[in-house]
Amino acid sequence: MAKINLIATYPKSGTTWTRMLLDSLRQGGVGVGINGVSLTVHLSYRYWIDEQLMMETVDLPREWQRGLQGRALRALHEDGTERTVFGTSHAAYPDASDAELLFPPSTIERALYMVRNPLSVAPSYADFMGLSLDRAIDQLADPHNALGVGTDTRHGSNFPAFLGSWSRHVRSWRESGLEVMIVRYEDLLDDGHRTLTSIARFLGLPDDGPVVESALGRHRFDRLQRQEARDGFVGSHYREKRFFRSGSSTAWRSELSAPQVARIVEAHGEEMARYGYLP
Amino acid sequence: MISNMDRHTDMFTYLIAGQRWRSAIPLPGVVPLEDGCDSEADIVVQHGEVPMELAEAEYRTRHLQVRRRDGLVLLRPPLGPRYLVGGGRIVVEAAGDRDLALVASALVSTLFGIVCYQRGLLPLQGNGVVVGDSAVLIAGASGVGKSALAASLALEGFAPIADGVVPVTLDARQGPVALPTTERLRLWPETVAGLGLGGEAVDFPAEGALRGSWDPGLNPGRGQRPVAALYVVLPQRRTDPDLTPLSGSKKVGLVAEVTYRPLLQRALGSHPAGFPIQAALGRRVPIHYLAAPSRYERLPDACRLLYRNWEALGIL
Repeated sequence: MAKINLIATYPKSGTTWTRMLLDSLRQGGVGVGINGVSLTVHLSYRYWIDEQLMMETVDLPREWQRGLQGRALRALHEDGTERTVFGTSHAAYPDASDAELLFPPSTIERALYMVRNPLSVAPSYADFMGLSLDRAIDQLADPHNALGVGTDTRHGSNFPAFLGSWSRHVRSWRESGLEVMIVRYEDLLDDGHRTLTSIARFLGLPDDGPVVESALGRHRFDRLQRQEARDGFVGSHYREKRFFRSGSSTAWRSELSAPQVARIVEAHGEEMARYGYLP
Repeated sequence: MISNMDRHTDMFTYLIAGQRWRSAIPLPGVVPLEDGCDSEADIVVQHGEVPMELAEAEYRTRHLQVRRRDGLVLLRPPLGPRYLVGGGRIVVEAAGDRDLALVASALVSTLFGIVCYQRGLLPLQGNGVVVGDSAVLIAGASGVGKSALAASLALEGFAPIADGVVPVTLDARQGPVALPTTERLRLWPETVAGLGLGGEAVDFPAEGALRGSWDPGLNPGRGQRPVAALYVVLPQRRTDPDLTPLSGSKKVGLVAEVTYRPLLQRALGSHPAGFPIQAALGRRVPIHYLAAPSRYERLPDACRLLYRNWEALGIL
């Protein structure tokens, strides 16, 4: 049986950075190229789902595709190989009645949830998705927000991922009933050693001090930015824009207007208060 | 009342990657031969009973079982049909219209991939078009827009030779060569509309088939063609198309990434031909990431970008 550890995030909440850090820990703290992370599988990726199910899901009507992600996870879980697999997802955790369709609970060992201040998520999300800041703020509050619905020229290389609002997303994972560790992105920035050590212990990865220090040192944001400038990042949507922006926890103060901050707080105040994000 | 199953009792003959297929089920996007009925087939596709389990299978998962000693493969993807593949035969157990749509899809994807691996060919997930005397391959994950780009190139006169899966082998003189599978492209209705092809130009034959078959009428011939360039389409959308060349070991790694269903390759046992073909592609063929545009009206820009690259590579 493959043990599946989930890394769940709302988009632009440090997923890529976390993946690199975990891959580095697994390899004893080595530098992992921004285009060379091999530890994790993106669970909505159609290519991966097709391979697990041995079928061409793009040929299926949308209604036939319902539940196939869960079936792919189950196929991986039961493939007869003893190992731990790290899967990433941007999807909200579904209601209990639909959990089998997306994340069959019996296949999941534990989940790491990275939460980031929505005041920082909004500008990063806007930049990544090519949206205005106000439109991005709308989407963060939209209970029907989803990713991966395809574009003009593609049927969609990912299965659609239902996000819902930022608040509902955080709550859905906290209340999923899985063994979940919730980590603030800001703590990984400000107190990296202690935070990454606790993540490593939770996920069963090497947690020796020098290994953790090396992983953090080799994947500082300025280094990632230099790598991106030199090699490009294949996960970037827009060549002309940087994927690795500031990574900062305070840049929003100069990026958002007072009314924009007020809109985010109004929509997400309750969850923001829980994680110490109220301005 | 005649069901779809009854309509498909005739055998269709195809020439795919140099092999003669006789199939009780029409293959989507592939034109049957007129004169094939009397010739011996390399692959026969027929209806029949398929077991739920493959006895003594060394590789066994929920959807795939492989018995390596005789190369027999049991495939049982979700939603219905089961398949038994081996000894030049594909047995299909299916019932009803939905199953037939699934079988048609499987025949030109996973089942074709299995046959390629069993015969020592390296299947890549991609499309092929003819440029000069060579083949240019456009690879990448399902749904990233490979066929839309190939259709846009076909509108400019570059003939398709494969759609979805491109078999590659090694030729002693020419190096890596692509083997033609079809001169047609399977396109979604929105792609047909986006490219302005007109619905009457595209054949949507089977009930439940989402993609129609478009014949650009370019007749590329059936001979193998040396692979002159490989473009890997990125899953991310971009406003402006662009190319990023790759070098060194990254190229071999990328060929492995666009190899069709690597899990199949591992489950079937690594055929001795597989790695040398991957290595030769990585060593001898120029490889680029291609960021394709997200909108149909920008596809001609992607084509022009490719023309400039082909001129630089000396293949146009």
